[in-house]
This record gives sequence, structure tokens and C-alpha cells, in this order.
Amino acid sequence: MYEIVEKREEVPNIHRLIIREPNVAKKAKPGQFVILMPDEKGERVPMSIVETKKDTFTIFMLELGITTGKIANMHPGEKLYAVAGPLGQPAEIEYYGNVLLGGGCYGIGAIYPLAKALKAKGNRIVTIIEARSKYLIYLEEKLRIVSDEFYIATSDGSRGTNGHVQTVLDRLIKNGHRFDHAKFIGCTYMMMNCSNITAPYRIPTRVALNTIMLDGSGMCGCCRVSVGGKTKFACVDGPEFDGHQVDWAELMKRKAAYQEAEMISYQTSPHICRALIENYFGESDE
Amino acid sequence: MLVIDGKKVPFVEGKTILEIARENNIHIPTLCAHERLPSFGACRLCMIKVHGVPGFMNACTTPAKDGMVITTNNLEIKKLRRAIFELILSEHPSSCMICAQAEHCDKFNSGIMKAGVITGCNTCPNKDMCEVRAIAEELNFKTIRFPIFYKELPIERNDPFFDRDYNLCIHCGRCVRVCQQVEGAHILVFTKRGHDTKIGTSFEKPHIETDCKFCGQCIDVCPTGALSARGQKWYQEPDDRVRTTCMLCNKGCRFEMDVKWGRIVAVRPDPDYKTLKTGICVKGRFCLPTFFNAVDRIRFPRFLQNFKLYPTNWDEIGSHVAELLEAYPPSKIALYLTNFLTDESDYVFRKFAEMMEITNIYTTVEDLTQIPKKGIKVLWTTEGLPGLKNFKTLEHLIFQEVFPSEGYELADVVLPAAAFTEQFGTYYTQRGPMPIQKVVKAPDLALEDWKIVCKIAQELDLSGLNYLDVDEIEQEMGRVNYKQKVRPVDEYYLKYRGTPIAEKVPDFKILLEYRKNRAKPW
Repeated sequence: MYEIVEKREEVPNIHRLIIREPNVAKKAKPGQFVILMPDEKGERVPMSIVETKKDTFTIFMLELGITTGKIANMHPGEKLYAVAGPLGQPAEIEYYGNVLLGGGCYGIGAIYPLAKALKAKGNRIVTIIEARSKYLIYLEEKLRIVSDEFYIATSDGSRGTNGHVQTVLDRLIKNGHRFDHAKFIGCTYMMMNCSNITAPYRIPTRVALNTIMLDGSGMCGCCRVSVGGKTKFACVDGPEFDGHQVDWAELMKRKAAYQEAEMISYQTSPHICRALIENYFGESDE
Repeated sequence: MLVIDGKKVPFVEGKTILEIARENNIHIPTLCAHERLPSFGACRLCMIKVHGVPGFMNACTTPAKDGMVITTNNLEIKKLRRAIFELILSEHPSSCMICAQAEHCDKFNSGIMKAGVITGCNTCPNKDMCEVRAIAEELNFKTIRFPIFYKELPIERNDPFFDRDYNLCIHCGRCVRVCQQVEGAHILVFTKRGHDTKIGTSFEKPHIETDCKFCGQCIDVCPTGALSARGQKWYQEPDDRVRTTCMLCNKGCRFEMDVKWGRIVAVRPDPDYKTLKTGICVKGRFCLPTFFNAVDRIRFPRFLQNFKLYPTNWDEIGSHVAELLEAYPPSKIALYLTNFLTDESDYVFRKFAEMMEITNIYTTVEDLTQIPKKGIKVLWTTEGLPGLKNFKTLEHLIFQEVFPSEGYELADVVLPAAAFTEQFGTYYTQRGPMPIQKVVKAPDLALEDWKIVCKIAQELDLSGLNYLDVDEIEQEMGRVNYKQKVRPVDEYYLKYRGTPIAEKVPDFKILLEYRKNRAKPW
């Protein structure tokens, strides 16, 4: 159980992991997530489930700090310490008509199951993905298949439109595209910007928030966010919320709560040297 | 006399055009030039026009000649400079520099954004000090006309202490020059040729296999985020920068420390300290923050009761120690003074001993053999010591330390001491007496060694041991003409007080273990 079946760095910093866990694979619905722990002492990181097969599921992991670094350093065949899931509410999947999907960063992977499910409901899918540069785009072929229209934006203009999801979105709306529903997954900044674009046009907008999480069952309250003035838990009430009602500034502030501990943990974590330890001293004791 | 941009400036024999321009506050953008390093001419941003000479010349490598008339910034040069820089940017992950959202994004994402692999400025640990960004701002770059190229080189994390991501490298050669010409180590070289040119070691060996001293100077001069100290990044702008002297040995190296959140987050050699020709050693450069930020520092005074060390406050522990010392004749009490005490603390300890008529003052482990001979019953140590349990006569151990090192389990009184970065003072080194500055606050109730002695002296009603600050102690030391000696702690001493540095710094342990068969580990 919790075995890493396959691991590949799809593009710099984004790893595709296939993990064996039949219970998650059996029950997961689009929009749900898992919480992973690489070892007993590791923190818990939530990841969107992208695909499920018989007894495995796929995630796209963005390598950020110590814990994701630990996972990125693991080899196929090794086992994670713990996998909890599927967690959170499934995404709203219905027939809307014209649906806009925006993804950036790990969200390019995370919107894929939504696109597939929405397409199956008969929606017309317009997908916009963004990346800093052309070498950071992944999953393009798969997304093209499930999308009726597909756009790419890069912030250095090396592919597609020079700009972001919001740049393309703004242009499409101004050119007369009508959208009945929109979903955005990516960094907090991108989801905020996109929600700001759809708000004046009253396009119902759903965003999947990526807060700090601990247990994922609504006990700890780590993941609390203000949505429409009410406190919600991203783990049990979300991760999908109305993008026009999220208190973005508060969310960003809460995400930065452990900056000091995160930085200091770099001073004391030996795991990044794992390659070195294994090369010269045999198997590491982790 | 030279004329630069219509301004008459004095000619100095033997200097380059760039040096003369800088001395006269004429700005020429550069990326590869560095004040500590010889000229190289790698980045070509300092292109200038010397009148009467065809083509353009590098300001950094062209020696000035009397009577030269130079233009540094006309339309033609600007165009050329932009094109050169654009080529550099096209091979450097620069999307954040030219992103239309950059300003707004910086404001919103004001916190620290980390990443395993750096693909843009907003996750780059070097963002706030980046020289490439500064030039991009200066030249007001908004687009790159050339195709973007990412080298897809693997991130090199197979060495202790630092990460190397040569995808960010702009081939300025500063690291190669500092390694060869300042440190004299010749570890870093340009490997491969042409478009594949890359910085690395000979045969691309990990640094730990080479003779690399891990001085970290390559990181200090890198204008990008290609080279970074693993435990000393992601803190953005420091709250404070403090310069102090290293007390890990008696060499007296000066360094500058970055402080954030009340902790030491980075160390580098003091940029102004002229006698420091080479870098500081691996202990100072890389181990210090990790060592003193370790979680198991002694933070509270404690005393033994019911087989357990209970935390308490200074008032209670003061009277407890006073009672303990009064219960024994001075001939049965011994003091162990570590080599890592500041001169002031050392003086206060010795004065205290004199007033208490304690004559058993030990400074080396060999001195401990006197414990059974003299029937010592109380040992007040300022350093964790090996083999204390063999001394059956010992009834009490007062343990004044930074970490619970050897002998801690035998202690019945624990006194938390401040580390050398947490106090003011003086340390007598090979370079003479050097000032010690307080960089950060000591954790919780930990106190300077001299203050601990004063607390206990107060409880014992000893007058003359009631100092307000180190200046007062220093003045008294001057009055009584107290002479301090260089402590016998050499460069390769691997402990601070009683704690092996490697015990708290995993990377240092790896270095020592890997190089255990070498005469010198660095």
C-alpha cells in the first residue's frame, strides 16, 4: 500500500506520481484530493487527484519545500508513510453549456479530471492553460482531446499568447465568447486574477483553494478560509469555492503562516543530501 | 586626463576604463566584473566606444590610456548592449522579469515562495540581490525577441551545504575566478566547450570528492541564484546585518551575519575586513546558523529533584547554587573554564574563584585527573566533559552549557549559557583582541556566562561582582592590568564547548565522514 508505482519529473519542478492505493482509486471523484506524508515526521501535503486506474491514482506534484522535496527524492517502488483520501467535496459537475477551464502550474494537471467529467456531461469545454515559459507546459495532448477550444499563455511569450489565463480570457470575452460556468485551478494569485475577470460578467466561477492542511477532516481548522464573510474549511467544505466570494488577501496571509519554520527546517534537514548519502554511504537510514 | 561622456576625469596608470569610470561615479552596467576579482570580459555589457578606435571595446578589460575620449552610452551602444543582454536573458529563466503582471504579483505574493527547481524570479532565493534583475530594470526590458532556451541541466544537490542549478548560470565566471585567484583552490573550472560550456569541477566530480574547502565564496560572488547555500536561503531581505568575530577557533575571522525572525539565517565573510584574504572556513560559513538554531539548546535553568531536571527561574536556581557552594569548603570545589568563554566571562569567573577562595581551576581535560587526588566534590563546568562518571568522589555537577553535551546526564544543576553570537565581549585571537557583537537574542532564559556568575555571586553576597555590561568589566580588566592569552583552539577543532559541531549539522557530519582518511577535512 501507498507504493509509488511511477515517478517522473514531467517538466522542471512538476512531478507526475502514480501511487498504489485501491481505496482512493475506487472512490475518488473529480475535484477531490489526497493528503500525503512521505515519512513519519513529514508534514502533510494535500494534492489533487488527477486520474484513477484500477488500484492506482495519479497526482501532479509541485516541488516546493522540504516535504515535497522528500517525495521528489523517492524512487518508484518505495512506499509513502501515509495517504489519506479521497478528501473534500467532489467538484460540481453538471450540464452548464459553455464551460471555461483555467489551469496553471499544478492546476494544469488538476483541471484535467474536471474537463473530462464536464465533457462527458455534454458541456462545450474551453481550456486555457498558463506557464511561465514554453518548457513548463505539460499534459497538453490529453487536455486538447477533451477540450473544444484550447489556448496556451506564457508569461515570456515563448508559446501561445504572451500573458496569463486572464489575458486570454479577457480577449475571448471581449470577442464575444459567452461562458455559463468557469473553473480555475492554479496558484492563489492566478485564481484571484481570473475570478476578478469573470466577476463583472457574472460568470459563475469556482476555484479550488490550496491552503495549509493537517488532518483533512475538519478537526484542526488549519485550512480555514473566509468565503462570503463566513468561515469555511477548505478540506471538508471545499476545496471548490465561489471565486467571487473568497477573501484572497486573508488566504494569502494564512498560507504564509509558517515561513520561518519552513526556512529554518532547511538548516536541519539532511534528506536533500539523500543522493549523496546513498552514493557514498550505502542506503540511507530513511 | 581622460574624457568620459564629455566629463574630464584624471588618468591613473594601470587602471582599466571601467575602474576609472566607477571612481568618477560614471555608471557602466556589468555582470561579470567584481571588485575583488581580476577583469575577465565575459558578459560584454560594458561595451564602450573609444574615439579613433574602430568597433567597440570592453570597459572592464581595456587599460585606460592618457587622452582617451570615451562614450559609454549613445544610441548605438544602447542598442548593442540591449541585444547582448537579451541573449543572456534568453538562456536564463527570466519570465518573471518581463512578465506584465510582475509588479502586481510581487505585491500580492509578498511572502516567500520556494521551489525545488527555479524557473522564474518569484521562487528564486536570490531575487532580492539579483544583479541580472537589476540590469533588466536599468535597461527597462519588457520582451525577449530571441527564442527562449532552457538548458535542462540536472540540479546538483549531491554535495553537502550547497545546491547548484546551472540552468540559471550566465557564465560570468566569477565563481571560477574567486576559486582560482582569491581562494587559490582551483576547484571550479569551465567544463565543455561552445554552447555546452558549463561551470563545474574537473570531470564533473562532486565537490566533496575534490579538494573543495567549502568556503562558500563562489556563492557570495554569484550574481544569479545558480549557486545557493542550502540552509541559508528563502528568507528574502534580512531584518538586520551584524558583523562579529568567529569564536569557533582562535583564528579571529570576521564575518557578517544576516538576521531574520530573531535568528541567524546566513553567514558570509566580513566584506570590509582587509586581513581576510581568503574565505572563512566551512564551520563558520555553513555550520554556524544550523548549529545555534538547533532545537535542543539549553533554554532554562534546571535542578535535580526526584531524579528529574525541573526547569526554574534564575532567582531560584541562584539561591540553589549558592546554598550548594556554601555547603562545601572551597578546597572541595572545582571550576572548569572552557576555551570558548569571552575574555570578560573568563575574567569574571576567575575573580569569582578568587573571592570564593576556589583554587581548583581547570582548563584542560588532563586537569580532571586531579579530581580524585584532591577529593573534589563539586564541579562547576562550563563545557560538557567526557568520563565524569568515573570520578566517584563527585557529589554535585553544575553544568553551564549551550547544549546538553557529555556529562549532562550527571548534572544536578543546569545553567543555560548564551552562545557567542548572543553576547557582547572580546575574544583574544591570533589577530589580537577581537570584538564580539551580539547578533541575536539568546533563547528563552539563557544568559551570558559572566551574568550567570554575577547572579550566583549576588546570592552569595559577594560584592564587586555586580556589573552592568561588558564595558564595565573591560574597564576593570584594564585597571587591574589583566592579560588574556590566545586560547589553544586550532582551526580544525571540531567542537564548540562540549558539543561536536557535526552532531547538530548533518551536512558537516557527511563531510567529515567522507573525508576521514584525509589529513585535513577541508
